[in-house]
Formats: sequence, structure tokens, C-alpha cells
Amino acid sequence: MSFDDALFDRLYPRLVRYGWRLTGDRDEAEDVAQEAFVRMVQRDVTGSEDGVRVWLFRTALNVVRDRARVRSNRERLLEENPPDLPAPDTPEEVTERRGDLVRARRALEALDPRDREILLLRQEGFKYREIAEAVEVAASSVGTLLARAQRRFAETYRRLEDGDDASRER
Amino acid sequence: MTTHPANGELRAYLDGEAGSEDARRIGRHMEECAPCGVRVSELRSAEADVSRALVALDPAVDIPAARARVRRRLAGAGRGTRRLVGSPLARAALLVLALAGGAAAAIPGSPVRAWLGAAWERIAGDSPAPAPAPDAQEEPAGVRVEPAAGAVRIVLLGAGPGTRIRVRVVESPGAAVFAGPGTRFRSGPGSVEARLQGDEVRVEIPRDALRATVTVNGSVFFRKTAEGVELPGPVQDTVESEFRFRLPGGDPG
Repeated sequence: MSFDDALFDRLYPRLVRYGWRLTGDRDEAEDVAQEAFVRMVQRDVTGSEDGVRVWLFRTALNVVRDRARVRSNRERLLEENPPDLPAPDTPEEVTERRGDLVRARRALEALDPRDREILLLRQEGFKYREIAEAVEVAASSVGTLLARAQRRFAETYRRLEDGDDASRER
Repeated sequence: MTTHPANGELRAYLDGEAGSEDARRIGRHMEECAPCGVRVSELRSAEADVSRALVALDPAVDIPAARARVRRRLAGAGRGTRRLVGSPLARAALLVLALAGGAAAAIPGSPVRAWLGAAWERIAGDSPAPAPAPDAQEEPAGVRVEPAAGAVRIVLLGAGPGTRIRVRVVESPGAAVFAGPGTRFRSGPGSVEARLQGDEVRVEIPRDALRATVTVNGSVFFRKTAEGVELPGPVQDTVESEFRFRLPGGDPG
């Protein structure tokens, strides 16, 4: 496949978002997304856009997994390299938004890696069979894994939110 | 009443991923089972919470810069074998065709064999060399710098009438300037001076910068301080974290 600008423009931001959510590292997310596109062109991957999309996400996921094997744990990464923040307008918003971001990140970190991958792929609009293909699980188990991941994420997020509320009240 | 569906089945049902038979069975069960109605509400609520929370993890992306980086990486690299991706059915169909074609071509006197031979000669004789990767120099020129003591200073010189300048507040830690090919840059700690070519300029200012200014032909267009953002320049439009300026004159299109 030659380099397709339109395809890149459509899928690259989604790959970066997926990679950032998966790794907690913005630079790595960009690097992983670019690596996936480079491999796509080098290996002349072709097919329907849905097929290419699944291939790209699966490749990005594999790159992330490979790198994770030779890297220290994510907690250290989070502490040393706090994630980028959305634009704040006031100090209160800075605090609030940082809180949202850290809670979301921690709720993701609380998940089993495979559950996190499944939850994030679903968040990107993947169908069950596409998730199954990317994560290499049976399509029939995606619903169960997804329901569990969403419940755990929501529980952790709410618990963190309640903790923040309680500490503000003190 | 039928057996309560498992959470995974309910999830698949809600996502439209249950098979038709399962969907009918679960639908019938839902009509008469209040506890499962509560479970469905909980599943929906968890899903909504996930979507709402993850909005905080949605980065702004500089697509042109990323595209240029990928092209640069591809420029010196070769290609491997072609891969077809898509549904297993499509792949299986192609495999069957390939096997059938191969078998037919192996038979002496087969029309498939003759056709393949002619096609191979056409390919071997006429096919052009693979097109080189797109020239990265077609992309705008650009420079990045890190803030110095939290401050960023961008100086744009030689902006002609009608020049469009987009200043975007971004999540990345560095500031950047991108302009037309031929633009000359000088950079120092926390500062970039660009002598512009072309009529489109893009500036990125990191959100975390404590102070930042963008000066165009000697006038301050954009200023960011701890108190917020000021736009003394001829601002045309503001979209989310992007401020668009246009110098007077030139072609309004």
C-alpha cells in the first residue's frame, strides 16, 4: 500500500489516543502509531479500510507489548512523566482536570492488561470479532471480558472520585 | 422464566453483538425479569462512566508533523511482501482461487497457463519501478524548542499581506513553528525566530508554558500568561485551543 494521506489523517489520531490510553506516555503513543503506519507501508498491507484499521491497531498493540517487556512498570512512568493536561483556564480547573486525568489513568492501570486492551478497543468502536482478532481471544468471550473491564474501571474511578471529594471536604 | 443471561451475554446483547437466536432469547427474558433490568442499567451506567472518564485522555495530535515524520522514515526504507487483510472469508476465497489457478496453470496446454505466462511477461517487461516515497520536503519546514524557565518567545518576520497564522495551545512540552518551504529559522533557549516563506504559518505553544508570546512583524499577536491568553493581533477565529490570525491584504480566499 502506498502512503495514503486520507487514511493516515483518519486513523493516526485514533491510534495515538489508543496508544496514550494504553501506555500513559504521549511520546510513546505517537511513536507507536508512526511505527504501525511505517510497517503498514513497508509490508504493503492492503485490504478494506476496516481490515487495515484492525491490522494497524493490532500492530500498535504488539509494539506496545514488545516495548513493555523491556521497560519498568507503569507506576514509575506515571510518577516520572505525568501525562499532558488539557487546557486549563483557572487554577481550580487545573486541579479539577488533573484530577479527571489522573483518575482515568489510574482506573485504566487498575485493569488487567488484556481487559484494558479490550476496553480501549471497544472505546474506539471496534466490533467484537475485530477485538477478538486484535487481542487474540475467542469472540464469544469478548462480552464477558468487556463487561468485567467496564465494571472494574467504573468502580475504581468512582472510588477515586469519592476519595478526592472526601479529602476536599476535610 | 428462562435462565438469567450472564453479564457477558447481556453486554453483547446491548452492543448488538449477540447472535439472532441469543438476542431473541435474551429479549424475551428481559420482558419478564426485573432483576436483569437492573443489571442492564448497571452495565449501561458502567459503559457511560468509562466513556465520560476517558474524555480526559484524548490528546491533540499534530497530524501534518506526524505525517512528515512517517514519510521521512519511509523515504530510505524498502518494502516487504504484500499482505492482504480483511475478513477470513475474503482471504479464504482468494486462497481457493490461487490454489485453483495454480492447479490449472500446472496442466500443460491449459489456457490459464498461457494467460499467466503472457501476464508474467507483461509484468516483467513493462512494470515501472516502485514509486519512491513522497518527498518529505513538500511538507512545511518546522522547528521545535523547549521552553526556557517556562517561557517561550516566537518571532515571525517577513509575513506578507494575507498571511494566515494559526497559534495552537498543545499538550506537548515543546513549542514549534511550521511555515512554508524555504523559511529560515533561528532558535535559542525557549525562542524561535522565523523569516517566513509562504502564506501559512502554524505555531504550537505548550499548555504548560508559564509565559509565551507570538510576535508578527514586530507586533504581539498572542500572549499567554498565568492569568490566561490575550490576543492583541488580528484574530479571525478561535476554535477550541486554536487561535487563527490573518494579516490584512492579500487574497481573501
